[in-house]
Amino acid sequence: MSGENEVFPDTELRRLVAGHADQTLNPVEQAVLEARLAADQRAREYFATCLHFEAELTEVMDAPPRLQWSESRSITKKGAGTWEIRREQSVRSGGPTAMTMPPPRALRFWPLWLVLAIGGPAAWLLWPRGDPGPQKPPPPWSPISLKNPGFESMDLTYSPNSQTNAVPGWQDYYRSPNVSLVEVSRVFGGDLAAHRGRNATSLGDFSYLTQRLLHADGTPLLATPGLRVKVAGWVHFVSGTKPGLIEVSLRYVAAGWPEMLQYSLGIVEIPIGESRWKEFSAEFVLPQSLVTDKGVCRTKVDGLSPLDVNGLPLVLSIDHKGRGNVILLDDMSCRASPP
Amino acid sequence: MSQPSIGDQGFPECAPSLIKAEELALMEGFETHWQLARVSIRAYFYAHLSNPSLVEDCLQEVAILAWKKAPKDRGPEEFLAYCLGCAKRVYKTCLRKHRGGQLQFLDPELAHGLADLVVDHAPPPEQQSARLDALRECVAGLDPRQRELLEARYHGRSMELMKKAADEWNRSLTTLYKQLERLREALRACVEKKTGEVSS
Repeated sequence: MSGENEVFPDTELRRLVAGHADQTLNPVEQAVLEARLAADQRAREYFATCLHFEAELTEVMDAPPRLQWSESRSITKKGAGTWEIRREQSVRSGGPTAMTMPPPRALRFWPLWLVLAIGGPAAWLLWPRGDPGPQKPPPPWSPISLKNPGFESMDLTYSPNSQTNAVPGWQDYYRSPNVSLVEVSRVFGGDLAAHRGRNATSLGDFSYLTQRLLHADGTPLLATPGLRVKVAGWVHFVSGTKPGLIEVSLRYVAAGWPEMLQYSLGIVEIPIGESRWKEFSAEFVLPQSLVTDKGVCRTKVDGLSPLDVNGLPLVLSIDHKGRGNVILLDDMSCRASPP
Repeated sequence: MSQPSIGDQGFPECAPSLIKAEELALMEGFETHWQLARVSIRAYFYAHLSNPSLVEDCLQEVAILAWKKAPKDRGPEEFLAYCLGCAKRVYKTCLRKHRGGQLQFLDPELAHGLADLVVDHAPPPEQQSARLDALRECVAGLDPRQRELLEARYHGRSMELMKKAADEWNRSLTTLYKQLERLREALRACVEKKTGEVSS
C-alpha cells in the first residue's frame, strides 16, 4: 500500500526520467513516463526540475563560453577627403552544430512463416486469372541529380547580412540579377524558416535560375521524343502587391549571353500567392517531333530558326515572371522517365 | 611614423582591428546575460525537442535574435524574459519546418505544459549563476573516472562516446547509464547543499 511512507520520487520515476534524458527509453517505457507525467502534478514538477538540471549540466560540461563577433567594413574613397564607411555585424554564441535528425524507425521484420501464411492465400485470391491484354507498365522514374537542390551547399553563418548573390549550381548559363541565396530565419528575424535546412533562394523581379540536367552518373539528360520529366519544389510568396508567377520550363540553350538563344520544350506556369510554404510540381512529356522554333532569344528580332533538339542536352529554367514581389524557392527535386 | 588620416592614401581611422570600448562593453554585457539565460532556454527546448543537435540549433537562433533585439542594458531578468519569448517563436518555426519529423519525445500538450513549468521554475539570474558555480565545484570534486563518464555523456551529441567508454571499461551500456543516473542525483544534491536550497 502506498501512503504516508511513500517515497517520492520513486525508483521507477527516477529511472524513467533519467532514461528520457539519456534517450534510452523504449516505446513502452516512454508511454509509462508520459502516463505518469499526465496523471501526477508532482511527477511533472520533478521532471521539470530534472530538465533544468540537465540543461545546467550540459552548460557546465559541454557549452563553450564562446562569443564570436563577425564584422565587415566596406570603406570607399568617394573623393578628396570623403570616405564612405559601411559596417555590418553578426554574432554567434557557441560552436556551429551539424543538425542530425534521428534515423527513421526500422521496419519490423516479419517472420517468414507469417508472411507466407497471410500473403500466400491473399496472393492466390487476388492474382488476375483472365487475360487483361497487353499492358505495358510505364517505365520507372529515375532521379535526376540536381546540384544544390536544397540550396544548402553554401553556409551563410558568417555572412554578415545572411545572403549572397551567388547560387551555386543554379547559374549554369546565366547569372540573373535580383536572385539571392538567403539564410531564411536570420533574414526574416525568426519569423520564417526555410522549408528544409537553413537556406532558400529569393527570386525578385524578373529573375531566373538555370541548371543543366544530369543523370545520377553525371551524363547529361538528352531530349528524346516521349521523355517524361517531373520537377517539384516548394515556394513561398513573401511580399508584393499582387500574386506572383513562376514559369518552370525545359529548354535547350543554343547560345549564352548576350544572344541567349533558348529553345523551349515545355512550360508550366505556377501562380504563387500564399504566404506559406507550398509544394509545386511540373510534369513535361516531350513531343514526338522535337523540331521547334519556340523559345526565347534576346537579340534576334525575327525569332528563332527551327532546330531539331533531339539528342541535345536539357536545361531546367525557373523564371519569376513579375515585378514588385518576392518569392522564396526551396527543396527542389527532379525525376525523369524514358519513353 | 604618422598615422594615415582620412583623405590620404591609407585607411581611415576605423581599421578592422580596432573595436571601440563601448562595443566591447556591449559584447561583454551580452555574453554575461546570455550565459545565464542560456540554461533556462535550453531547458525550455529540452521539454519540447528530442534531438540534442536541434536543441543547439534552436539555441543559436535565439542567441542571434537576442543579440539583434534583446534589451542588453536593462538587467538580466528582462533579458531572460525576452529570450524566452524568442524561444517560443523559434520553437514554433522549428515545428513548422520539421513537420512530420520525429521531433518530439512527448505528447505535444504535455510537453507544452512541461515547458511552461520549466520556465516558471527557472531560478532568477543571480541564483542561476550561483548554481552553475556550485555545479562546477561539485564536478571538480568528482573522481577522474566519474568525470570521464560525464564527459562521455555530455561531450558530443550521440551515444558513440558512451559506447566507446563501455568498451574501454569493459562494462555494459546499461551499467554506465545506471552509474550516470546515480551521479546526476549526487550532483543535484551537492548543488543544493552548496547553495542552501531545499531539495524538492
